[in-house]
Amino acid sequence: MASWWSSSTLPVLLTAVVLGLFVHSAHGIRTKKKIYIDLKTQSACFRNFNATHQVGCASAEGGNVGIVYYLHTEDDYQWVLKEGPHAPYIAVVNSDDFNGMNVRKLVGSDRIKGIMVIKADNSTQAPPPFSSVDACPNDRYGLYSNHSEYGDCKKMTWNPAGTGLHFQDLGVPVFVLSDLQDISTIINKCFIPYNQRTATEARSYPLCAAEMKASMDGAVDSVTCMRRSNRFTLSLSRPIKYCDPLGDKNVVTLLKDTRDNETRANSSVIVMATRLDATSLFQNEYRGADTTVAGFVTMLATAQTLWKVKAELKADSNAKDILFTFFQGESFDYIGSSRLVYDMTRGLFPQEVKDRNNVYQSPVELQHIDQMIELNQVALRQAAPKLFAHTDPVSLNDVSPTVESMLTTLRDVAHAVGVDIEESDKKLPLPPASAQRFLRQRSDIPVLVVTDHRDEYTNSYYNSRLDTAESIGAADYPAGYNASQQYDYVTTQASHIASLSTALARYLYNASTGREPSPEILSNLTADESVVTHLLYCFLISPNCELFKQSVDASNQDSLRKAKQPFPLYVSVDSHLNEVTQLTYNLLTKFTGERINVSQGACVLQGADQRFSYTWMEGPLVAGQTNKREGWCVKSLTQYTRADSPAFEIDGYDMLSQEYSTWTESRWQADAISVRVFLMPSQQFQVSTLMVGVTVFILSLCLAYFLQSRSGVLFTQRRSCDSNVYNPML
Amino acid sequence: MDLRRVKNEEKLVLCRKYYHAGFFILPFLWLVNFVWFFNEAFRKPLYTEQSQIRSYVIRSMVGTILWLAVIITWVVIFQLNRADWGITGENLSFLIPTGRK
Repeated sequence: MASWWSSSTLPVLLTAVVLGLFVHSAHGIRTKKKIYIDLKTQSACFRNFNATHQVGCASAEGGNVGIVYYLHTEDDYQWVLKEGPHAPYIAVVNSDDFNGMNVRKLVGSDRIKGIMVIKADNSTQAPPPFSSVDACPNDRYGLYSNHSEYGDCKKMTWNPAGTGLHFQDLGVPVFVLSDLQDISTIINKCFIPYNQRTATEARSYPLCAAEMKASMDGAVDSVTCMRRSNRFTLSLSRPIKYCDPLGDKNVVTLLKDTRDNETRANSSVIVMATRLDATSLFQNEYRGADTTVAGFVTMLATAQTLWKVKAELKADSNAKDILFTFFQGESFDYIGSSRLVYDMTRGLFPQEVKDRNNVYQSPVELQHIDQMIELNQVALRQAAPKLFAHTDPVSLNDVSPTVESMLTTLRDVAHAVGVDIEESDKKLPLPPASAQRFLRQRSDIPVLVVTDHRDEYTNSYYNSRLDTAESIGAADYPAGYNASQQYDYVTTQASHIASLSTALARYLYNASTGREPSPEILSNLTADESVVTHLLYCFLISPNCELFKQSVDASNQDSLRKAKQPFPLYVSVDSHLNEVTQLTYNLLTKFTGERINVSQGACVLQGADQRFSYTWMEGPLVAGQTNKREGWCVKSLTQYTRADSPAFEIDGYDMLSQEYSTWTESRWQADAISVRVFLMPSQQFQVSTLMVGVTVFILSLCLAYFLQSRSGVLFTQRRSCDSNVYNPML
Repeated sequence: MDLRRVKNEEKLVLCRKYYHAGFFILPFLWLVNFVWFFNEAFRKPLYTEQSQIRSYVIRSMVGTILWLAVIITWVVIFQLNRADWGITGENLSFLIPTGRK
C-alpha cells in the first residue's frame, strides 16, 4: 500500500498541482488585463520640499480612484465640483485650460481626486501663457530679498504668467498625457461611452474610473525628511531614505591656465555666465527653450568663437582672464551660483588644492572679478528685434563709470554685427539672475544681465512644459524636411543667436585686452551659424544628432540613440550627473580645448599638473566610413564644479535663514507612478457581489463540515488492512 | 512541560517563580502563568497547594490586565501624537511611515 502511494499518486498529485498553478497564474494575468487598461504616461507631477513646505503632487499610497470626467466647458466644472452624483472624480482638462485658477478650483474640492492634462498638440494656436513658478521667481534668495524698494518685485513683476503651481501642495496626483493612444483611451474608450452625461441627466453604472498613482515617500519639509533620512536606525535592511537634496554640477572654464603659485590681480577676471536648468510641473516634460537653452547655446557658441583667438589672448599678459560658467539648479533658489560663490569665498574655486605637490589652477576669488556678463532668456526678442542689458540700481553708484563703458562697448560691438542691445531702465532692479548671488556677496561687481525683455518676460512659458523649440521659432523648418535636413537648416533664431555670440565674443575680446581687435582677428571672431543650428537642434529637437554623437564617448552613444525627446533640463537630485550637464561639459571641452594625439586609454589626467582635463570623444566619422569614428582626446581647462547647496553641508546651518537653497526631492518607489482605467460597477453591485461571495464561502464550509461528519454514511469505506498507514482522506 | 506529570509542590514552586519573575517588567510571564495554571487553580479537585496557586494566578491576571491597559493607552497616545511630537516622535519610532507627516 505504502509503495503504491509513493510511486504513483505523488507524481500525479504534483503534476496536478503544478498544472493548477500554471493555469491559475495564466488566468490571473488575463483577468487583470481584462479589468485594467494601463496608460503609458509617466509624466507625473511629483513632490519637492524646501525648509518650510512640501510642494507638488502625491496620491494616497495605493493610488487615487475617481470617475473620469472630461471638462470642456464651465458647466462641466460645475458638474464635477457640485452637481455630479458620482464623486469623487478624476478631472481631465485641456492643456489650454490648465491654468492657476482652474487647478486651484479643482484641487480645493474634496470631490476631485486627480487631474489629467491632455496636450492638444494639433492646435496651431499658441497656448495661453503658463509658467509653473512664481510671478517673482527666486525672490527670497536673490539680491533684493526683503529690500524695501526692490524686494518682492515691487518695481516689476517679471513673470506675470507665473501661477506658482510648482510651489504649492496640490494634494492630488496630476499627470500630463502626451501619448495619442493614452488620450484616445481616456476620451474614446472611457469617457464618451460610459461617463459623458446626457443633456438632462448623469449616466448610470457601470462608469469608467481611473486609478492615478504617484505615491511619494517624503513628507512635511526638507528639514523633517532629511532628518528622517539621516537618522540612525538599527535595521538589517538599508536605511529608508525619504528625500535627497537637489543638485548637480556647474560647468566652468577659464581662458588662461594660470598656476596656483601665481596670484591673480584684483579685477582681472571677466565672468561670462548663464544657467543650464529649467523646471516644469511634470516629470519628463522639461523644455525651457527660451528659459535656458537659447542662453547656454549662445554661450557655447561664444566660447567656440572666442577660443579661436585664445593664442593672442594668452600671449598678452595684460589681457584679463575670462571665466565661462554654466550654473545648474538656478530654478531652485540659485543652487549652482550660490555654491560657486561659496566656494570662491573659501578659495576652492575652480579647483580645490588637494595635494601641495601638484599644480592646480590659480583660485579665482570674488575680488578678482573685473566684471560679469550674464545671459538670461535671449530668444524671444521683440520690437526690431532688441535685447536689453539690465543693471543693478543698488550698486550702480559705486560702479557707474565701469557699467557705462561696458554698456557702450557692448552696444557698439553688437550694433556692428546687427544686434540691437539697448540699456534697460536703470531704475529697475536686475531680473532674477545668478549675478544676484555674486552681488549679495560683493556689491561692487559691475554686472550686465542680457535678456530679451525690457520689462516683464517676453517668454510667457518661463519654466514650463510649453517653452518649446516651436515657441522660440527654432523649429521653423520648411515642410517635408527630414531629420538630417532639419539638423542643418539655419533658422532665423539660429542666425540671431549666432550674431549675438559674435557680438559677445568681440565684446569679451575688447574687455579682456582693452583694445579693438585687428581686422584679421575680427574676421576670426565670428560665430559659426551652423554650430548654433546644430546645438539648437540637438538640445531642443533630438539628442540623437551628429554633433552629440561626435562629442561623447562610445559608452554614451546608446543613450543618445534611445532618446525619444530632448534631454530633461530639471536639475534633479545630486546622485547622478544630468545628461545636459555632461553634454555641455563635453561641448565646451571640444570648443575650447586642443586635440592631443593619444589613445583612449591614455586620455586621462595624469602627473602632477592637475589643471587640465582630458576628455575622450568619438569625434567625426572617418572619411568614407559609416560607423567608424576618429576618436579624439581633448585637453582643456574645463571643469565640473559643485552645484549642491551648502545648506546641507554647513554644520548647524539655520535652514530658515534664506541664505542657501534648501530644496529637496521626495523619493518614490519604482512602481509608484502609474495610471490605469477600469470599469466600476455601482456601490450596491460591489456590495452584493461581496455578500454573495461571503455567503457561498460560509455555505461551502457548512457543506464540507456536513460531509465530513456524515462521511461514514455517504461513502462506503473499505478499511485498510494496514491500519498504521496514515490516510489523509479518513 | 506537562503539568500532569508534575507533583503538586513543584507546581506551586513553578507558579510562584513565574509570578515573582513577572515583576521584572515581564508581563508576558504573568500572562503565561495565568493561562498555564488556570486549570490547576480553578478546575482541579481541591489539593493543599491549590489556594496558594490560585492566589498567584489571580495576581498574575490582575498584573496582566494592568499592563495591557498601560500598553494600550501608550499605543493609542503614541499613534495619535507621533506626528506632532516631531523629533521625539521620530526617535521613539522604529519605522516612520512614508509619504505622511
